[in-house]
Amino acid sequence: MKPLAVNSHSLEHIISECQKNKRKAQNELFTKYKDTLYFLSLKYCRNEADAEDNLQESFMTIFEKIKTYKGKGSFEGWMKRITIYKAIDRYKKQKEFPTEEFPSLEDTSIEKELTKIPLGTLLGFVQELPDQYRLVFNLFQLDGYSHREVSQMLSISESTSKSNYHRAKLILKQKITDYHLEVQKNKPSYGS
Amino acid sequence: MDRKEDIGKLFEEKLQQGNASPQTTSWDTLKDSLDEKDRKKKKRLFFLWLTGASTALLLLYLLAASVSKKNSPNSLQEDITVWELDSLSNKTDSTPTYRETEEVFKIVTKDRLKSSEKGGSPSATESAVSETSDNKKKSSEESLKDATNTTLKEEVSEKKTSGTQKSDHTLWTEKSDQVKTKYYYYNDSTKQNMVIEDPKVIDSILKNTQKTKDSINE
Repeated sequence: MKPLAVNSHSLEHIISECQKNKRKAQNELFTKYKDTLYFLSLKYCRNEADAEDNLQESFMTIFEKIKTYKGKGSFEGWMKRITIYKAIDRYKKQKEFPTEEFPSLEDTSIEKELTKIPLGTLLGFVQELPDQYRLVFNLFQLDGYSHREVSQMLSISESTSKSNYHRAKLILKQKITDYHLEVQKNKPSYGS
Repeated sequence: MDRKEDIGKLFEEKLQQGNASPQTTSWDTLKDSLDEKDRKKKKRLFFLWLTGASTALLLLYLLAASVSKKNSPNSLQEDITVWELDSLSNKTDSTPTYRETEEVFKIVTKDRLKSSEKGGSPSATESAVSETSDNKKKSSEESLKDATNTTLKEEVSEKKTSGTQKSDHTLWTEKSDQVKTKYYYYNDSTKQNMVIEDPKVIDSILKNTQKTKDSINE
């Protein structure tokens, strides 16, 4: 347990120094969290370029707002919220979200043997989702926000959030099916 | 055994394990952006400070100027000088005695201004300007009369002129801001002071005195 205490103390020290706008501490914080926040950005953004931009903007905001961080709650959680909100702002500005009030009742489960897909491919499927579907899917499924919270964050109705989530899963299911069909097609046949 | 899995759960499990490093976003680019932001912030603060400081200085200057103008004896002198010039230009009476008395009055005024500059007790003019009630007016008139008489006496003894001397003065009352003209006379022969508002009265006295003198000389 001792190393944890040391780490916690060092993080407090880094935060305190960052609050004084010290570049060295900011560098340490960036090095410590850049990978986590970049992967989070990758899930919320359309592609790597957008994710890089989102990461940079998030860190700028983190260093600017770090004086307001009072030490309540997880610091990493606080940084993640900033990163998520940056991504939401990015796609909210760019495109009007489509509204859909009727959730589909189609099955969104998949055969277990079809779940063996590389991580990069799965991430690509998420990135290819329409902006609002991707945001709803990430917020609800991957980051554990409720539909009410999602609706407030995206300024949509709760039913739209549920519908978008369901639609996102259907699209992902279709992509996985297509992926396996493609793999089967490219597989060399040794039988006949 | 369930052979199916929810697609949401599949992505949740897989993507939670993920990690990736940014390719183009480095500390150097971030540092440059931070430095640029700090520079802009400092520049904005400097301009804000400059605007604030210059506004404060301007206000201070205006305040100081208005206070010094209020307290300065020059403002009083300026008013009196205007009046004196005005009196000289308006009154075209060519009687030598009359002009002499105007000069005497100027000397009286300057003497009172000097005493006010030295910080002594308030002069008759200042009292006359500041006091508004009837009683105070009376006392100020008396003190002004005394001061005028003293100087008139000195002036008259120096010039060794005979007959009646005459001077005029304007009182500004704070209440009405109206100009009220009073004429102060010193009769050398009777050794008496007089305060008259109508200059025609003294003109007739002067003429009578001159006539008497002329008849005696003849």
